[in-house]
Amino acid sequence: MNKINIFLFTLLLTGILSVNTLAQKYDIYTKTLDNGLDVIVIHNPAVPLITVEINVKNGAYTEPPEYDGLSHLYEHMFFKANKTIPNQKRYMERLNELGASWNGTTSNERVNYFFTVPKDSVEPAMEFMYNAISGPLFKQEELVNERPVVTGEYDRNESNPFFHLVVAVDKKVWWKYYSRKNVIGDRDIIMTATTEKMQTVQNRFYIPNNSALILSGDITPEQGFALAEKVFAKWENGKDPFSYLEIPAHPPIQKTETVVVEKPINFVGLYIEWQGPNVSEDPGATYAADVLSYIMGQKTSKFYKNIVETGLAYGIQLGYNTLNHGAPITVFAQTSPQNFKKCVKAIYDELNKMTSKNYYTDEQLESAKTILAIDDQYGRERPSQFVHTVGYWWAIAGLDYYLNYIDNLKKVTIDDINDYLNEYVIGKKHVEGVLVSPQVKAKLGL
Amino acid sequence: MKLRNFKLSIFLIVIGISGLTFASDTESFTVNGLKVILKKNTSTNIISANIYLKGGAAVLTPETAGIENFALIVAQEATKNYPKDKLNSMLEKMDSKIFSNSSMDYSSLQLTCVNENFEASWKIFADILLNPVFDSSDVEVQRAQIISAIKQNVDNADPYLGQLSIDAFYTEHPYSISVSGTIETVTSFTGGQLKSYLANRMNTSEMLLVVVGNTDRVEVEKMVKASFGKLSAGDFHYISYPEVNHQTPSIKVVKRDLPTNYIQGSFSAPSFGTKDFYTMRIASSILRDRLFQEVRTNRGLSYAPAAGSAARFSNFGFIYVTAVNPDTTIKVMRTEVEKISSEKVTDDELRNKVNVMITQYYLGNETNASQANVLAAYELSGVGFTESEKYKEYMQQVTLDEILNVCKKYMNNLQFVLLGNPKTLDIDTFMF
Repeated sequence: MNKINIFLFTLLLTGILSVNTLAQKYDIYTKTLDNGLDVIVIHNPAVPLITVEINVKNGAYTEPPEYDGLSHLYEHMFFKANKTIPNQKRYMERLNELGASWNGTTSNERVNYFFTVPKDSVEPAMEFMYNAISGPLFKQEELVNERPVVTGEYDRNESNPFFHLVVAVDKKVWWKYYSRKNVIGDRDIIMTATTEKMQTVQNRFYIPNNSALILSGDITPEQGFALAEKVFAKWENGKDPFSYLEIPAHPPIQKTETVVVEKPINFVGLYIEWQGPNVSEDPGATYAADVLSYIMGQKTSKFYKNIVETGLAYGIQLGYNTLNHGAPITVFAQTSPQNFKKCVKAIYDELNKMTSKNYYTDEQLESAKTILAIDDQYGRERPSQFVHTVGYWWAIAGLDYYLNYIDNLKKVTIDDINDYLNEYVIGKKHVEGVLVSPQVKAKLGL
Repeated sequence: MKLRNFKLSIFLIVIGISGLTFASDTESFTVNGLKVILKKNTSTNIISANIYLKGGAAVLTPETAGIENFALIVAQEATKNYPKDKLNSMLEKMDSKIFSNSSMDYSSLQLTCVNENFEASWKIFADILLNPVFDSSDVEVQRAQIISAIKQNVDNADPYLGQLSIDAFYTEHPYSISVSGTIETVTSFTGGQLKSYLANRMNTSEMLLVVVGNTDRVEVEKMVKASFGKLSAGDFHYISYPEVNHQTPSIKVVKRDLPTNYIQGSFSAPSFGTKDFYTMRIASSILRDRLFQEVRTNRGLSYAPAAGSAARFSNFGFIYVTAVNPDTTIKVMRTEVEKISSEKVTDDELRNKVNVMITQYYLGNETNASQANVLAAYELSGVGFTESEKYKEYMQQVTLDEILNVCKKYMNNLQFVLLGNPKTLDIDTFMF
């Protein structure tokens, strides 16, 4: 009996697996605890490590203006005192005792925390994660100290010229509910954040039935599920936050316009943004969007050849970011002052030609699907990073979306891509951002 | 009982696979003077094969700065046997990734692909090195992109600080020559110069091949022989870089209106692969933890205090911070540097830090590509690829006295660079 057969037989015998053939194919196994916590085990014994990660459906999209940036501040406060750890100093010491490499991130629609530890330390690492996620104290002195740390992160973002370009465009594209797109947040809100607000964030979102625990690395599903049950079953669930909190839909872009951002830079940056398909509303378009982005990212594409190989831009990228509450379609290019106007014209010309016959070949379409499928294999080579990908899909679209992703990509046709372009891009309102130096701005008459 | 036996079987199988995967067979052999390091990894369907060109900055002159980087980039555009469209189309169909990288110590052309496409991808990979065409339009497009990247490096605070710090630290040293080149040198190279430069580097003694994946010696030998079997061996001699030894501290201030100040202080560090290299890795990481505690947690002075040591053949360590109030912040950091250079760290600090660094070592070895790069770094540094397997052992042997001694010896005469526009600046604070 080979390894896989013994393995699966045992799992069935112990009755702990909700077996799903796609999950088997990817070595990803899932179970939901009685308290609603989704547990995902990704089995990959390449190195003797295990990453313990918690994903929470929280982030900028849950933030009205008075909470702008507090998902991110909360993420910082996660690494401080809790019911078993008296302060951040001891917190960090404990992580070192566990041999942990650790971090947390906040994005539009997901917050995650992760510790990668030697496999022998997985249980204490899970205990540690449980205490941090379920029992933060939000000590006033720690909160006061952390506010300038977060604004220090803000300062660093503001030191990057591209940050200003993206913010300027985002404020126009997501004009009505910008706080729900502003991950780093508002300085004043951060500097006046209270422990009460932190507790509100915790009570609303940091409950097992709004979270997923992912164990990735040298761990079997049997071991992972047993440990999850032992450590996390006691985490008390709460009311689904999205049953009582309204997440308003972003209204359409008001008008097509250009915003100019002046910074002392040596090139011209161009950033164009449309409102794309939300994954829960139009999942088919999200697959078409990804395939199109990959076709246009290849050196054989007309898009690349006519814009980069002609020297009009140093680089160009057409992208789509899968999200559920305002998913952007973007074009980002870097060009020179002398080529700027020609480059902008060429980009729109190419976009308008994308639905025409023979703009790309069947072969390029199939290559893009192959690339997406093999890139997925490359991604799975790093269990400590792949865990973040799986967590992202769980939070944004549900794990089934990811497990069926490659199969759905294979079904994408040229008609699907044309529908996507016609529905979301061609002739649709968008915002164009230009990043230039004051001298170049004057020269170009912007 | 039956269930327990099943569980035991699974446990043993998993352990067996884990052991085989990481401490897998690594061997080396030579084909026509080209040293090949092959690490067999049966747990993945992905293969990485990298050719390293020895020498790095040391084989460049101020006039040829950036030529190797430029030549490797253009070479990937088209070859004699794979014209542009064919080359790109084949790589896309296979999703095989080929890219180049140039560092101070060596350059590389790297291939990552899935097993079934290894042979076809290898042929393209080898042709890029052996038969690049250097079409003039490709040269011009890539020239513009490289020059743009050099300019953009200056626009972004972190990369610019890094560049300024290297310039300030490696004066009168081979590393003072930029492997990316300058706007002047990159502007000056002709397609013909690029082509002949790369052709002249195609001597097997100047190259190293590292392959990691589920393949075997017979297959690799056959492929290498077919591709590189007719090259001349050449006469490349190992280059030993001198350690940098600044006798006085310094600070260079580069004014720029930024919301905060970007600061790095660099100090000499033990060369990659030496015994003290491991000690310094641990010491600087403990220092990083202490800076995090004192600067960020206790005082909220910065989001990003850091310390560390690089992995260069002629090495440096650093402290780094972004801070609105540099004087206050650097005073705190200075106290911590002085403390770790005069008092032993605790047993717990050392033991726990070693555990963390072993975790990070494994994280750095998750992919075949990263394993190939680790093996290459050890081999090219002169200590030999087999040393890479002893990382854990060396880390675990480091003592408290060794930590103190390495800090005393190296963490002084810092070469600071400050990028920003602070309201006040007390230069004396930086003089340590």
